[in-house]
Amino acid sequence: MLSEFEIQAITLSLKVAIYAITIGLPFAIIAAWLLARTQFFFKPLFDALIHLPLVLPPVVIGYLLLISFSSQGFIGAPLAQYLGINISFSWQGAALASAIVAFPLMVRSIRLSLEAVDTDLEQAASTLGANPIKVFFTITLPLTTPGIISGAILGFARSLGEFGATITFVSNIPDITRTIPLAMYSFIQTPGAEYQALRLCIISIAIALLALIASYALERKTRQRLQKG
Amino acid sequence: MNIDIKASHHNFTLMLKATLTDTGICAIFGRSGSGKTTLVNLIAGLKTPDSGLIGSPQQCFYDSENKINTPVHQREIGYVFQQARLFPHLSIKANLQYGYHPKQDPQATFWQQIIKLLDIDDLLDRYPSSLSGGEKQRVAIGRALLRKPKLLIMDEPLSSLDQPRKRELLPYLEKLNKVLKLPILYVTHSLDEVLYLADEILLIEAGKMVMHADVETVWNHPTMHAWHSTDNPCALLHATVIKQHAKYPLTALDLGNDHTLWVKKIEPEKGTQVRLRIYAKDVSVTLLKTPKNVTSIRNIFCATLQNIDIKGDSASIKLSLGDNTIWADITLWALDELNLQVNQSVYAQIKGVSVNNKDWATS
Repeated sequence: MLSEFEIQAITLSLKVAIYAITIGLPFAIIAAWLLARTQFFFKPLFDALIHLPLVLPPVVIGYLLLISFSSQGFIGAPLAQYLGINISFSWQGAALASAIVAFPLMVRSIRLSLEAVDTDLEQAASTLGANPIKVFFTITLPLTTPGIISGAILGFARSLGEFGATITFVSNIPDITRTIPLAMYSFIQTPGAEYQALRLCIISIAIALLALIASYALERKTRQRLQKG
Repeated sequence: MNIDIKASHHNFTLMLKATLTDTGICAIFGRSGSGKTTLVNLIAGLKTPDSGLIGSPQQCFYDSENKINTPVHQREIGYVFQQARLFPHLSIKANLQYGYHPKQDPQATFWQQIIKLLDIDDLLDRYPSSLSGGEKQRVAIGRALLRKPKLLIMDEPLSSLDQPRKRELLPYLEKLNKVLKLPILYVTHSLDEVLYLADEILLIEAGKMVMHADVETVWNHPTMHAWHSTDNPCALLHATVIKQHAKYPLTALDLGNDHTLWVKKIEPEKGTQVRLRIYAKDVSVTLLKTPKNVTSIRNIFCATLQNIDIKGDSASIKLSLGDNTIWADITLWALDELNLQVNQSVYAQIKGVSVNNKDWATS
């Protein structure tokens, strides 16, 4: 039913998106916590920096990644020299680009959920002998799950759709960096491939819809369980 | 627990020095906004004072001079909040286990004792959202106790509950202190809860301590009169059970100074201390002692008239019965015709007495 080429693009897209979310999520939780619960001098600047990928043209992000992570870049050069890692023009690079673009969406969603956590419950936990770390992992984090789930799904959807930063940073290499949007772009550029482009278009819609329905169901289930006690 | 602290927050300053009970129940009593909750939050460590000292001789929690400030989770103080604050993502059992150390209770005897005491066995598998207010509060109390605190703070634990739930919970609270021998600081603005539970009262007003003494002393002190209900003032006394009546369902109580008071039969054994209320409307005054075969009233005592306070259309008469003080409400007509004077000897006839029991917790 699906051509080998389509399966390649779908698997790659899913792999890139899953890795992007897995890498980004812990940092997004930390950033959300800093924004929701702490006060520091550079907080407005920090807040703006985190939201930057949301408002910058993706091509700018791709370009910045390219100049910093290429084998001559100020991050890429030491990475290649000491660890033998080169992520430009690889699927890992695509995952990094997606993670950065999806980051502000995840932070926003987690932050909202964190701010809604009743600090009275955290107080109660501390009177029960829990130190701040235990309070965070047993009370704060579980109560933030609806936000983490919706943040992860939003980020996942954004990663699947990532185009500009990816094509700029890791190019459009079949089976290595050619995710669904990039494959579609290639078909559109190719005369007579309208049918293939349409097929990919339908696949994209199906994946996005599935993800959104799953996230809705999951979030509703967790919220029900977290009803105010 | 020794407290000597100063704490300011916005326009409010709390300054207080007191030594609170290490065994009984201390009611922290006052109007809303008088600083009751602030005080217990400072003791629990949820707030930090500006300066001062909090602690017992064995354990210092806060000392501004020596820069000691033990964090909340190390203070071993249980806290039952106004709202139950159960963790919504955890089952009742997991809520109860949150601060519980099974290693310190290998036979689970303490666990069983608390579960039984609070009657929460049937709730263990449920989640907080499916519990009623009274059940939630019972679980919250159990959770605080299972952490094995050395002191329990209860901040108006009944105020969010309706009347039947209050009546349902009060006996549990009474048992806590007696069975577990756990000192309790009980924040409330309900007189009934104070009278039902407390051994001592710390009366607080605008962040300052007004009085700190046993319940009877504070109750009969003039500063408490604002709290007495105006149309139905009453005196609070304590007495010891002497004996049951041989023939009728009556119990004799010793009020001290050889005064024996007969009340409707109560269960406690000989020697038990009970607290009783005598309402001013139930006390009348005579100048001559009426022999017991011509009056239906059984309790007649010789008393000294201490004070006459004319309030509108009636007079409130303060009488001293040995060391005890009671009030009598009489009409102005009676006052004039009996020509009552301060320091005069009169006979107080007591028609009705409420003895410390369940029907107290009604408002």
